[in-house]
Amino acid sequence: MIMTSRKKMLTAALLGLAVLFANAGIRADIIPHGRKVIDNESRIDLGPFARYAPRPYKIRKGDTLAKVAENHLGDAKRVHEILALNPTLAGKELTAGTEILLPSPHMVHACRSSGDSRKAGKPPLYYFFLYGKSFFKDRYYWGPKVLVHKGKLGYLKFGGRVFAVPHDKVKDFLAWYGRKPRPKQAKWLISTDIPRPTLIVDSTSRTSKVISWYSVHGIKDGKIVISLKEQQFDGTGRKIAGFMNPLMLSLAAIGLVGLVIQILRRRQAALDHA
Amino acid sequence: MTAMTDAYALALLLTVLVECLLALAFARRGERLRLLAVAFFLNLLTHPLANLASGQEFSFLVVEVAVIAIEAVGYRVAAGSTWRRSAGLSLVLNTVTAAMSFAF
Repeated sequence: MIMTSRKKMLTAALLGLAVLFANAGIRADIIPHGRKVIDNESRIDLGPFARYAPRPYKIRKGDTLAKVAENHLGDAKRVHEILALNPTLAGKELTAGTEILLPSPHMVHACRSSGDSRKAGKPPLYYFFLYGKSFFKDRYYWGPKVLVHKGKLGYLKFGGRVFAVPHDKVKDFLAWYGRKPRPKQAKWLISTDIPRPTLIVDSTSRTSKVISWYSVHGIKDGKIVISLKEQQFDGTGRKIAGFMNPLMLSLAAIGLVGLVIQILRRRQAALDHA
Repeated sequence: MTAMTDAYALALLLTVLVECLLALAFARRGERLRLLAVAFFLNLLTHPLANLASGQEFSFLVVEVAVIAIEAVGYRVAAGSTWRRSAGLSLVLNTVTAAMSFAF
């Protein structure tokens, strides 16, 4: 079996491409030692459900939490809802000029009508969900299959979808979400031990492990302001890539060998025919 | 890691299955087996490479165009189709599977 120079060039080009891609994979896998912290502030258009997001309120002189709750939520007993959104205020005196978050009136209405959160004594927190899938777009959903907004969220270029769900809908959401085939890549944890309602996402991709904090800062110009802080950890990504990259390269090598065999067979058949 | 491998294996299986079936549908009499084999090996080559490339934040479009180009050359050289047919086949097959990746 004789390979023409054209075939040789093609085989070389394919091998070159494989090497090029493989090198790209190996290079990007080298994460600097230690942690890489990325701070970013994103404004996300939450479309129809922006009205559920918390709204900012500036403390005035003489304000107490009970007073704010009474004036803005209609009931002084709802202080715990404000505290849930602003955990650092607990046990502290209010300072005039400090900006805090108040539950959205729509959210309050939704909670009242459903009754769930108030019966359970839970404040209306906001939950953000994220998982990785999709090459170039992130999608924001409110409830199952309702597309609200397409956009990008900072670093997570191909990171996937972000969900914002009020806590009384979380159970329904998770029931739906749990049936989806792809959510296992990200784990989430809601923490109130920080100044803002925050979602901490542990998303481990093939090449890196990233912990992200999404903190809600209220609404501005119809967009919810979320600060994004990320820590990229060394090691895990390398371990995962160390497993996945050879697997993929092996598959590609099998494909390449198969193709070359096909080319040679075709060449042989042509020669036999001649 | 298992979930990741599972997700990748599923994506690869679906892509190979759909592209092979489509290639069969487009194949002429007498070239079915050859086209099927070429489609299979081409996907085995391009799918993992495309996945590696997209993991490096190459834009989706760039990766897809590269895949279409490589597969077009593959169909031309390995299956002996004309350039026009190879390019068309590669474009159609990859457009379908790329569209599928958004549907899921």
